[in-house]
Amino acid sequence: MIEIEQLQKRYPGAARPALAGLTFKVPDGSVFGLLGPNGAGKTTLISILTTTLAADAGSVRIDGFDVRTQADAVRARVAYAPQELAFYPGLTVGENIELFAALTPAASADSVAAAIGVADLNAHLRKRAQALSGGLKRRLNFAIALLGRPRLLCLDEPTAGVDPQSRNFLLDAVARLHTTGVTVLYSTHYMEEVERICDRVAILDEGRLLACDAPDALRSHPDERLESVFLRLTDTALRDA
Amino acid sequence: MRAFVALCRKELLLLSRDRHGLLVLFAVPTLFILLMSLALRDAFRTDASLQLPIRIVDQDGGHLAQDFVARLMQSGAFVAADEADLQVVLHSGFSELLATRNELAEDFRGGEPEPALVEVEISPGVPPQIKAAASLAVRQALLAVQSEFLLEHVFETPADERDNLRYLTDPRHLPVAEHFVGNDGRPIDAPTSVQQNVPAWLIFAMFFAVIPLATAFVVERSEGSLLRLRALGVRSGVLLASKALPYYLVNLAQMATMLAIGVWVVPLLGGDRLTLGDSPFGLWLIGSATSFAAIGLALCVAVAVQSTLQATVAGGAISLVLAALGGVMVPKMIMPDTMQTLTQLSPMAWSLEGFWDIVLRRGSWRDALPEALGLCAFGLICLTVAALLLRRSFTTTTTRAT
Repeated sequence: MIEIEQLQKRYPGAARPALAGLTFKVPDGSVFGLLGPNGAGKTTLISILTTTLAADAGSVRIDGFDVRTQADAVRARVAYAPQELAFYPGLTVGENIELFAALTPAASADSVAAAIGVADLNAHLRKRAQALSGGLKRRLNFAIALLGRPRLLCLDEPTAGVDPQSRNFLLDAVARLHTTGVTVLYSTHYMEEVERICDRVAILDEGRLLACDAPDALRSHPDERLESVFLRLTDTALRDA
Repeated sequence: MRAFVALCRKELLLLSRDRHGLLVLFAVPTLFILLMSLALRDAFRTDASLQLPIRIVDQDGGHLAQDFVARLMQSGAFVAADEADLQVVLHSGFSELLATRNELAEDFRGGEPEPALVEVEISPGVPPQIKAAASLAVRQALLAVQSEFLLEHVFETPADERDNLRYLTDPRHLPVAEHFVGNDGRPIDAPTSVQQNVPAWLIFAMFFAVIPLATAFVVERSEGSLLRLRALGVRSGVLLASKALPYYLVNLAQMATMLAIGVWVVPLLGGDRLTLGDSPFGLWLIGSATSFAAIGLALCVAVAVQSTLQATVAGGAISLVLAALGGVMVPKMIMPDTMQTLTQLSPMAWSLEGFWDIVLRRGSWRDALPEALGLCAFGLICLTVAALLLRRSFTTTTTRAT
């Protein structure tokens, strides 16, 4: 369970806060979608959840542990796949996995093998990461996050820039993780991904929570597309953030 | 034509907004002109107004010795100093031997060894042209004293001994001995260009680690790996140490390679062999201290810059300026006094002094200890700044997350 209360964050020199008193809960075992236009605060929120950024005010508790004061306990439960390809292009796939496994306290031979299997990387372990296709790079980024069998997996736009096949593969992989009880926080701009895998979704804009419910519950009528819901809630004006 | 003009305009606009490119194009050469012009000022002077610090040890005290010292100082080439890289020793018996040299000249011409009346002891750090100038001034003064003495006594010399006078007034046969001395005062071999260049460019190479280290760090940050490391709870100290140790090993490998080139490869190509001195521990000490300073600086730059371009420009510019200032490109000894004082601003100068203590002056590790401590202090300050900057970026933010 993630409990977020009155979370606030403003970057130095920024005109408006990145997060302005955000409050919601993420149930255990759910695939929880985070939707929002650019500058909505999605990555800021994930950064705070993963202890890589300190909030100005408010609190976040994961399985009862405070992200600020009990960061080590939080890190033992949470894994993060940033939207950047967060690995070393000059290393091979196997070397990257070996490196991050060594840095992940909960990683074991079994969990490493499972992560490689989930991302289907066995055939690519000897390849330099920089030589991989966009889809394979995303799979490696994803696999590294799974090395410690996390209870909460934060995925920040995990399918950005990949081909439909790779996207389909990653979405299936997330769905399979869901069946094992892993809680997934899934940040994306793609509405169809949210409709396909998320059982709850939060829509953010300018650091505020506009809606938080099951996708079906957000629709005003059964035929309304989630994208229409999103535009209705966030406005159609272009965002310059 | 329109396309060409538009493209040229685009290039100028981009360049005018590229502060780092402009820095490379204008600020770095400006700094180099200033540094090198001042550093080489005396090397190009022809007005003979240079005065070399010299220490004169008169063990004789006789009237001829005093005359010699007076003439030496009147030459205008020297200024007396207690701490000097040039020392002229007049052995006891100088006056007497000089006076009786006429009587012994036949023996000297016949191959008898002639005692050196004057010894010129030179620190190995003194550049050749300064050594040559000092040698010439000493010989001229001695020749003048001896010629005066002979003139006074020429008519007392029997006619069949007057050929000796020609021998005695030949500058090639003056009783002067010159040798380089180490830190302990023992004579050592003459320094060579390889002994100036190998330590100097080794130090430069060690400090040049700033570019790969800073670039790799920026890439790590921009590509998200650093973010992932933070999410995994990697402490800033562990992160910095994990970068420092491999680069320390690389620096040691550089040192071994460069010294080996000086010892074995340069002689194969007709150059002089590098002598390593008598203290392997001293070499390791000054090499390690240099590495520590270089890595500290590199990590400081790595944390401070924001892009690979900045890392390359800042790293390269800092290395070059420190090298120019620190006597890597122009030996410190031929710089004017003001510039010699300014060299102390560069940790490369401290390192060079430390290496010379060992390889040139044949000193022990204790001789290089002050420089090693200075380098370690510099490295520690840089590391502290790097750690503070990194910690600040870890606890606030560097990535403008949305």
